[in-house]
Amino acid sequence: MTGTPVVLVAGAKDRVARRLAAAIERRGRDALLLDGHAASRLFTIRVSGRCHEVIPELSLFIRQGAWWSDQPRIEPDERFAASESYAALWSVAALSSQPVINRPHAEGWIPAMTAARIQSLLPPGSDQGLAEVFASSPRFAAREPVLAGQAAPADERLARDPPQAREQPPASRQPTDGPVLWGESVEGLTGPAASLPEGVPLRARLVDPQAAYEIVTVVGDRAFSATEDPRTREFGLLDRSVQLAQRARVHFATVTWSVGTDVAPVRLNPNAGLRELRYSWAETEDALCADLTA
Amino acid sequence: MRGSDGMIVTVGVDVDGTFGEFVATALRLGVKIEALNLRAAVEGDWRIGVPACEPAEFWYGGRTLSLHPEDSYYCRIIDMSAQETEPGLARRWMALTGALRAWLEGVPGPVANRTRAGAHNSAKPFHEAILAGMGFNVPESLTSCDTGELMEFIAQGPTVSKTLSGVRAQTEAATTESLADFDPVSGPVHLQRRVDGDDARIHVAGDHLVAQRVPASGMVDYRREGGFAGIEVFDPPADICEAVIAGSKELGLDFAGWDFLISPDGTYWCLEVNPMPGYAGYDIQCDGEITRILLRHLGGEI
Repeated sequence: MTGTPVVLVAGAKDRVARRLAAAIERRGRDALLLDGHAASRLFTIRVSGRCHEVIPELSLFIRQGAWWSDQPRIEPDERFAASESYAALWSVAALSSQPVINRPHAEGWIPAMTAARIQSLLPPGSDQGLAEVFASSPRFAAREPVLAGQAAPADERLARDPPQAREQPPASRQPTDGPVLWGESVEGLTGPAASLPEGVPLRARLVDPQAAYEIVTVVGDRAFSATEDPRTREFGLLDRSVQLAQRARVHFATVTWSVGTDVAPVRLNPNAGLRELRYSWAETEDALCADLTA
Repeated sequence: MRGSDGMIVTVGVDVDGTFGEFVATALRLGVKIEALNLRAAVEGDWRIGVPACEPAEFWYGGRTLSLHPEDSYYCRIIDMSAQETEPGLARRWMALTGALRAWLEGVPGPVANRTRAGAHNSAKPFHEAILAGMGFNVPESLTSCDTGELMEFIAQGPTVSKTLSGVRAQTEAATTESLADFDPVSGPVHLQRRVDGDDARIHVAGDHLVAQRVPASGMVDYRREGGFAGIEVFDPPADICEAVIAGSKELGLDFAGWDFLISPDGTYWCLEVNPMPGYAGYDIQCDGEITRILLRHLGGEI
């Protein structure tokens, strides 16, 4: 192995980070796979006058799973320690002069975005009206105007979750010509909003039951599609995905598109798992390794 | 009743002293406001469409409350899910506060403050670098687990230690003795050069500000050492007033609390800018003037 190591900050079960670490090592560089707390201890930050310095200078690949989010009920002292480590690594990653994927900004790390947030990234004049409804219970989500039987503008027909590429909407959805209010409860249940349990908060949006889905993986200015569907090229989804990622200020993300009567981005995920990345993993791996070892 | 103009709405929890101070002072001044108490709302029902092209609606305690996109907002949105032992209620807290934050992002008028504006206050080294980049004098700092580096920094001059994240944000004097038991496994430590002088807090709301000063007392953290008793309103130099007003706007903060130390030579050392300042203690000392400028910024007629 040669050169300084690339540090991958991720949870122990993160298969993307583990695969990427192996790929970096195959290319002759050391890879250090650490959780957030351990990674935060590697660095020293100096701020003096208008100058700042992060030592050592190392490339970083940072995943959201590094932050104990899979342990929802930790003790206060542990939560405090996690907050401190998070703050330290946020500062390291933001101030480092080395490649950082994904680099946090003044607002922190960019989270996964669903339709409403993506809408805010679109150029002025692209406003499509209501994108999502958040409600305490399905019967409140279903109140007009969303369920008034009005045909929503086509770009509002957005899927809640990115189904697999080429996958049709779940069989539980009845074929229909009109949009369907599709929800996800805070307990993680998804389905037609009306089928979700009453009294449990949810987010919901109208989806086109006939739409297909494309997943585009973006690494910097490169983009790789999950399918070879000609509509991906026809609608320029690779370039449009790169533009969306740039507006979201993320280097690495998947963009899921609903392709039906119209085409609309329904999810931007800067922490995509192998489930989304597997269709274009070889190209994605090459691109990430190139950027992290540059 | 709503007038033709937008209403001033405050969103918070009734156990938060600053939320209570804002409501009480607004009522005392005769300014009409609407208050959404999240501790009550979380037990009720809601419907929040995003982006904010329709009212957000709430039903709780036998009342219906509609928040309108054309209203102006003072928010102290505190997610109390971590304090809840009942998982279902904890999830309701996260769902409600997350939805409200997303809705407020699309409100076109004044929102004090929007989600994530000034969030870097929770990453102190980055925060300090941002403030220094904006032209403020910021005391030098070191963040590290390296005991040798930390000891060397302390040896170079008076030093304080602060939390990195702003949680349990107590500032303490740091000495080689206080660091003697430091275990690097516990995580990085944030040290900053100590500056002696007057402590100052400047609250900014839009183009208005209220500046208060605690005369030099030698206290490391006046907020926790009884320093409020000596606090007084003062007029900072014009360049500082311009800098904090412009700085707040640059950071996207409709309302901000700037902390300075003013050294004997008159230098203003910027310690931090708070994106959600708990200002009740300061407001009481100046007869509600901070609430007044906040209400004025939000469109209140005072």
